[in-house]
Amino acid sequence: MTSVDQESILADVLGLMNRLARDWEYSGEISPETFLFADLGFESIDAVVLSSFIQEHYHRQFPFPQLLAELGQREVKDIRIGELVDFIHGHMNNTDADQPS
Amino acid sequence: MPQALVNGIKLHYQQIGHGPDIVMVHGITGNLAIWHLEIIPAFMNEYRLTTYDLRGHGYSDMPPTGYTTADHAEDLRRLLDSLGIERAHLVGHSFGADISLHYTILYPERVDRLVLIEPAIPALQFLRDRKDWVGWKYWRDKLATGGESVPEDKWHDPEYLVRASINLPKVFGFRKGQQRRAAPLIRLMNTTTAAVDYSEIAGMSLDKISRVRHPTLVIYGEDSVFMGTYEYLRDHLPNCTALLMPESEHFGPLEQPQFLMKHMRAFFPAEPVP
Repeated sequence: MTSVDQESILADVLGLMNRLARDWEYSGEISPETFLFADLGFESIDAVVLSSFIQEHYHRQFPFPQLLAELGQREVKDIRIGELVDFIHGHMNNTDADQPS
Repeated sequence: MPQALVNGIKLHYQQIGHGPDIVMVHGITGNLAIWHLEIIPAFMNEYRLTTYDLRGHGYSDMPPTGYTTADHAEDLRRLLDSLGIERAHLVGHSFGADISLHYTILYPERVDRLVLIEPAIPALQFLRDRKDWVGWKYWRDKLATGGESVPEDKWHDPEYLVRASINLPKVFGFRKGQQRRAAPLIRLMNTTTAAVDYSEIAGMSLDKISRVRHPTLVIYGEDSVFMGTYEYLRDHLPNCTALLMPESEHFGPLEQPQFLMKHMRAFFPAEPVP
C-alpha cells in the first residue's frame, strides 16, 4: 500500500508535463479543473508520452490504454488534470488488481 | 519515455502487451498515437505491440535527410534489432504501409504476416500523374472545406497540397475540429527531405513487390482515392487478401477501427497467450 496522496501526485504530474515536446507550451495557470486537450492543446501523442513519463516516474504500469479508449467514447473527449490524478491515485491504492507488470 | 538510438538518431517507441509480436508503422505527418486510441487497448492482451514515431515525427529526432521508404525500413530494422524482435507481424498505414512493404522486401525472413492499409506505392505514381486523377479534386475539396482555396496552377502540385494540409483542422481524434500543432510539421517540410523523399521509389520496384510471398492483408477505404493502387496490389501480390473498408476514405485506423480489428484478428494466426 502506498502513501502517495493526491496533492503530491498533482505536483508530480505538473512536473512531468514540463518535459513534453518543445512545441507544447502553456503559460496560463494550471489547476485540477484544467482540461488536457481543450485547455492545454494536448494532442493524442502527448497523452501517450505523458502516460509513459508517469509510469517511469512511479516504476509501475497503469491501465492508460483503457483510459484512452474510454475517453474516446465520451461525448466530450477530454480529461481534467484532477481526474487524471484521481485515476493514478486510485490505481496506486488498489490492492486487488493492477500489480506492476 | 522509451527511446532507441538507431542510425545516429533517437526514435521514440512504445511497447505494450504480451504475446506474439506485432509492429505498427504510422504514415507521413502522423505519429504513433494513431494506433493507441482503439487498436492497442483491444489487442494488448493477445499480442506484444510495438509502435514508434518515424524519424522527423512525433517525439523522435528530426534529421535533415533519410526519409525514403528504404531509409525508414533501415531505421525499423535497427529499432527491432535493439528491441530483440527477430520476427514480427507488420501493420502499416499510408506511408507506413509503404515502409512496411519495403521492409518485407529487404528483410523477408523477419516478417511473418503483413497488413497494408492504404499504401500509395511510389512506383505506381504513374497512376496518379494524370490531371484527371480523382485524388487531386478530393484533396482540393478537403482544403476548401477547411477554408484553404488552392490556386489553379497548384491544383496538381503535391508538395503545395501537403503544405496547405498542415493548416487543416483535425478530422479525427480528441481534437477533432481544432487546429493541429503545425510547427513540427512545417519544420519537417522546410528543414528535411521528407516531402521529396516521400515520392522516391528508392528500390521498391513493381517487380520486387510482385515477388513478396508473405500472407498479406491489403485494406483500402471504399472511398479511397488510391483505388488504382488497391487493384494493382490485389492483382499482383501473390499471397494477398484484399478488402475494401466501408465508409472510409484514407484513415482506416481512426475511421473504422472495429472493421480493421475484426479482419486483423481473422488474419493473424490464433496462438495461445503464453
